[in-house]
Amino acid sequence: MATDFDRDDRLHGLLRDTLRSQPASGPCIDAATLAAWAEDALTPEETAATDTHLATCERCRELAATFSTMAESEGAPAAAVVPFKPRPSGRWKVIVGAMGAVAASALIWVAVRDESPRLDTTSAANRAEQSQASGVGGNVAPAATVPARPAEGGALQPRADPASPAERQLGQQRQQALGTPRPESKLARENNARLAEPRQSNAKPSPAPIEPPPARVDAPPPPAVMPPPPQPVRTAPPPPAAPPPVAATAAPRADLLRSSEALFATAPIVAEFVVGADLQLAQAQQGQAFGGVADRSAAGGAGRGAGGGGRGGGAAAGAVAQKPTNAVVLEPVRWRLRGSSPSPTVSMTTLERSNDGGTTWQPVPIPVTPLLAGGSAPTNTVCWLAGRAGTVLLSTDGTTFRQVTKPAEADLVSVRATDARRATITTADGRTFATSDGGVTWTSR
Amino acid sequence: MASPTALTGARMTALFERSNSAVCGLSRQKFEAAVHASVNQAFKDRDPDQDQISRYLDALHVEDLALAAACAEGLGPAWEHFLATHRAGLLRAADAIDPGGGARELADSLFADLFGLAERDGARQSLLRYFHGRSRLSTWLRAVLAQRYVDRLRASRRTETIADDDSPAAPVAPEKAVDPRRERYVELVGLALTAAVAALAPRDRLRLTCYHADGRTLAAIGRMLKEHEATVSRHLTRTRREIRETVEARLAQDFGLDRAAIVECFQSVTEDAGTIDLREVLAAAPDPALGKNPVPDRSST
Repeated sequence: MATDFDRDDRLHGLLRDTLRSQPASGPCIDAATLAAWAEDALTPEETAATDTHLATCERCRELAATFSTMAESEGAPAAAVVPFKPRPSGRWKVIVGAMGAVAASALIWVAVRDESPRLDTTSAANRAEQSQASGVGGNVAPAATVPARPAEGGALQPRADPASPAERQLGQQRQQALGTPRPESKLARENNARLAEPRQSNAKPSPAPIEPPPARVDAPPPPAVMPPPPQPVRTAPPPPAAPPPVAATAAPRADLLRSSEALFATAPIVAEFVVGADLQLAQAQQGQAFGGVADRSAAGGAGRGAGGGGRGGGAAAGAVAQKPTNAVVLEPVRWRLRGSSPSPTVSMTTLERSNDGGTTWQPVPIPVTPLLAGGSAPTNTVCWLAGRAGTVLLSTDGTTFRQVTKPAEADLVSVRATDARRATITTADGRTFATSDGGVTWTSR
Repeated sequence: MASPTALTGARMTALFERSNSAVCGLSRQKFEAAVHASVNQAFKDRDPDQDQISRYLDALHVEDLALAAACAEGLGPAWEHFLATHRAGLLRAADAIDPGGGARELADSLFADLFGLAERDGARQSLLRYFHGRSRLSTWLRAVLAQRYVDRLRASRRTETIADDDSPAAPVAPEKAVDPRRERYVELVGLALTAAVAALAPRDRLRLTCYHADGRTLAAIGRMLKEHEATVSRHLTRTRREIRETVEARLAQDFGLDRAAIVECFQSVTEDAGTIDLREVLAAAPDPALGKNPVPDRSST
């Protein structure tokens, strides 16, 4: 006797005939409906009606299948899923915080030392001394040939001018020094003394321009007018030993602070995301509208964790020359989650928003202060945030947030939203929940 | 129709700022007209409340809507930006569906329609007027291209001439003894099955149709519905089981068949009666070159 499973299987022929003989339900879907259906932008009723029509219309099924082939060619959408990076707790917070502060201060004075020719001369002597001490012989580049450090964004980009072997060795030693807090070393004392001296305001040469990486052959042309790449201004913890900078050197120091902060994963930026990162499929591939962020999003996941600042190199790399016009500049809103200073007792996150591509940041109040893990902003006014203990926050005006129903009493690690109603969150234990009504109800997937 | 209270000046101002219409060169008036057209199109068959309209506006891709409206208005900078942003992606999509370049022709001609060469009453008629911002502009463009491609493909299929078939006529299966109960079984199962399929959830029905009626692979269905093929397989198995249970329940309750009769009914109906055993057919033919021991008919067992 045939089992239930056998009878299920034998249904194939009957189903084929029955399904093929279904009368078409409603008019054929148009391009706008198909596009919205593909993006899950229809209401549940509209989605059901579209599904029903597709089930009964061979032409529209062929259309949907062709469309899915096209969509596949566009690659995976740039997901703005921000991986959850649990902050260190307890003693680790203290240790990492202390190391970060010491390392940042050490990097700052090392970098400041390179600003003036006189300091460069001295540092060249130090380099020679250190090279000899470490057994690295050969020629030490004179001070005049030492390439200038990039003023900004250098932390994430290769240097324009390759360093000499001695300088590379020095770089390694610097890294070792940064990892090992030795604030009262001989080198530190010398440089602290130099920092106390008056500066030469015009001594620093302009940084050499850094070439973007070569463009792909099939790369799309850049937009007519590119928005300026994000240059987030971050405030690093003040170096403990350095005196306050004089006014003439304030700008270079700010640049150096940016560079030094970007170098360290201990910077308290929990996550940074840009509007439409998980929706801008085409822009992410073309690397246009959102600059470097879009590029990084397409390459390996949109969300950026701590230290994700800097310029994206491929944004301006257009294979096709585009004449500059007064065309459209679309400036997406940027969001970032900033953790509190590493502390064993404080565990909270603050939210900041930038309307000018990351140049300035304004704090945005949130009703609760849990440890937030990530966010997603499909539009300039809609922003979803997810964090510990099932906390999900939603803003539909870009300024005020409200807490929506918790999908689960579990830590949330990421959120991905397509609009103010639809979002998908992932818990730390791998479960996924979705909402299509703005967080009122959640369904497990 | 859109409630006027949902599209107040403040709300429209916020949308206008969000859309970057100013940099597109699109006037506030034109932008408002585009938003109103979008809302009216979305709720043409309904009478939405303010909350529904508000949610709709939240989800609206106003930047793309403004760009499309500006291009439809013939604003040069907007059109240049549109080309720079979307042309390459559309050509890639065309290559994906037809590597031979056939779809590229469609894509190129599509840009002409998007720009609006045809004039009616002295005004250009841009295809972008039909974009209402419910999806991204790039997605809508791909959908339009897919639509044109499929329609052209289907039209060419209809006009294809059927090659002359010089091969001899296929052998006809001999008449077989028909189980008198089978006719009734087929009718009962057909009724129950049609009802069971009609009661399916739309997505289940679509999945089932793609698999059983179109013969698409699990991967292709998963690509279409954005599901993993294992998920598609699981759903198909569940749906088939539900259909079988529904059919069996209907056969028992509505038609009074007992368990044994249901099993017999399924067995007799689900066996493919159309299968022709070639050896049997050929054995019936007067060809001595074939086997002399015909295989018995198994289709009715």
